[in-house]
Amino acid sequence: MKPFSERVVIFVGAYGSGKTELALNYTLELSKCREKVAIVDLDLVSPYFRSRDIKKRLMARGIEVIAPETEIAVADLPVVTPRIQGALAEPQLQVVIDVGGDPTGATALGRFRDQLISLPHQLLLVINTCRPFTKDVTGIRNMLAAIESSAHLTITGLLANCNLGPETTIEVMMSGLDIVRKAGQECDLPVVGMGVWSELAGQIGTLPVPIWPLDIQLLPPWLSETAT
Amino acid sequence: MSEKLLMKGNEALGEAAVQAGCRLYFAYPITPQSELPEYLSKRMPEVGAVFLQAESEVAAINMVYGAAGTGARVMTSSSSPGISLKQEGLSYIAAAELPCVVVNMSRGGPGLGSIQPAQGDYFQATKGGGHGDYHLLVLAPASVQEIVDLTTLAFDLADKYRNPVMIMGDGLLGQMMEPVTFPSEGSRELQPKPWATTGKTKDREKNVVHSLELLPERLEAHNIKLQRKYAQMEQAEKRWEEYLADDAEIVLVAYGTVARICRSAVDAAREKGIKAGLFRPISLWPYPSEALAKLTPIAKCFLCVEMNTGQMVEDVRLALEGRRPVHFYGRTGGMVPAPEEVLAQIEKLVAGRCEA
Repeated sequence: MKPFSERVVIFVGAYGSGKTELALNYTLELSKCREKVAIVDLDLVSPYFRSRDIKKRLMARGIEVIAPETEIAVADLPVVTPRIQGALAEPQLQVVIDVGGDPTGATALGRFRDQLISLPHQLLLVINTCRPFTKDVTGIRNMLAAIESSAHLTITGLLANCNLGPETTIEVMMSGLDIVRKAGQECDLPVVGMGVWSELAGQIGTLPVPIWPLDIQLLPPWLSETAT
Repeated sequence: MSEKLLMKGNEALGEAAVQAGCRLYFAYPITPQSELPEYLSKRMPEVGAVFLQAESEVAAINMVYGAAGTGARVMTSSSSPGISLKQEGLSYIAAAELPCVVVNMSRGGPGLGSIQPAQGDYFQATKGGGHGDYHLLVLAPASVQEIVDLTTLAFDLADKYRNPVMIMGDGLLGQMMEPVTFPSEGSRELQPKPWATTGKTKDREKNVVHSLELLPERLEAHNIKLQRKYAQMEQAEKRWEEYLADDAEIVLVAYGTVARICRSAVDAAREKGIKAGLFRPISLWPYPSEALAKLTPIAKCFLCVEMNTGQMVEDVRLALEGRRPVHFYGRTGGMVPAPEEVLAQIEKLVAGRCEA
């Protein structure tokens, strides 16, 4: 994956579309070539599998993690930290925002609309066609419209992340990518990439969109090699 | 919906309920199961069904009580503190012999506790919870696909025995995503329910749903009848799974999320040449005691692993009747044991020759 020229990159999408994994992988990649990188965990709706869960791992790579602190981090309270506004205002800081799922989760992003419209940014809609509400072009279009409406911002690109977890096949990814590309054509939006598990990235060959190789960061305990 | 989807446990449970014919759902939100009401709030209107967010868990369970009386397939869900609030209603529903499905995606306790996964509600689920002599059928899935399969089964068992069935998960099972398929639709021919309060017709006596039985003789007779039913459940509804247990000298006993962790630990132990195996109860009540006891000729000891302080140990000891030592390892408060921690316990037992 090639870093975007825009300083602010925002990941939105339906619940469970893979926003957090893509945002984390993008952030980790970005930290290899940029001095100052921050990730904002703006997920106010999911209690588990969030960016903040691997805060230590990210900080060890010099990444600033912007998320509620102390016990508030594990409370089901919709807390937005003031640091987000400050981070967006820092011209040297690369900011990745991992937004909560569905229009409900995107509502929190709407709070930063006034600041964001004056900042060059990418607002990427992450799509997994194996998820129940974004299986087809209609579902994707509905999700896109609803998220734009609650975020008060315009999506700038689609990011395919078509997978069935451990049962992902090349066929699953390719047929999913077709649907995402069709949605892109209909909505007049570019498909900026396709998330592919690193183990499968070698097998998939060339794609009509850039490949984003993914190393899964948030695994259930029986699949984790080290406890975080 | 026969294609494969990637779903969270909570969502998959909701979809499985819809496909099992659940047309009434009453609940109050609580983390970490709120994706379930959220999913059903979108899905139930699509099939012309009722989604109702009640004013409290107490209200929700009593709505379930009323709706179940009509013979409809009905469900409620919550997480630990919310399930505590439902206990009075569950006792009433069990007493009135009504079918319903109750989901507990449990979290850290006691008290308001934490929103992280835990299994501290084992006693509550399997030993009563509410007042009086009654039992719930309790099913404990360990994967998102099994959540789907057991939800379908739960509705069938509830109807078969006219008894509440609990699906006992934990926050992690509710939140994690795995690929799932749903059983093909069209196979949902539900049995008639002549006892349901659907309006008296001329050709039958009136049906009455109640849990009040003032005459001691009649209440005792009712208790005897219920006990007969529970005995039938104990005969027919024990479920479990074994993994490398046949030749295991150390048998881990775990359910739900922890069973997945223990499976990894068993694999790691086998790689080190330790004969470890796993016994996973799927029905927590009735408990698959006989199947567990059958492992004793080869097993030298048993290790219970739970996200609580050892609530299932009692059932394991009762099953083994003192023939083998039963050890325990657990984490609480929302801490989830890592496979390496469990492996360390196995190695410790091997070093001490499995003795107490």
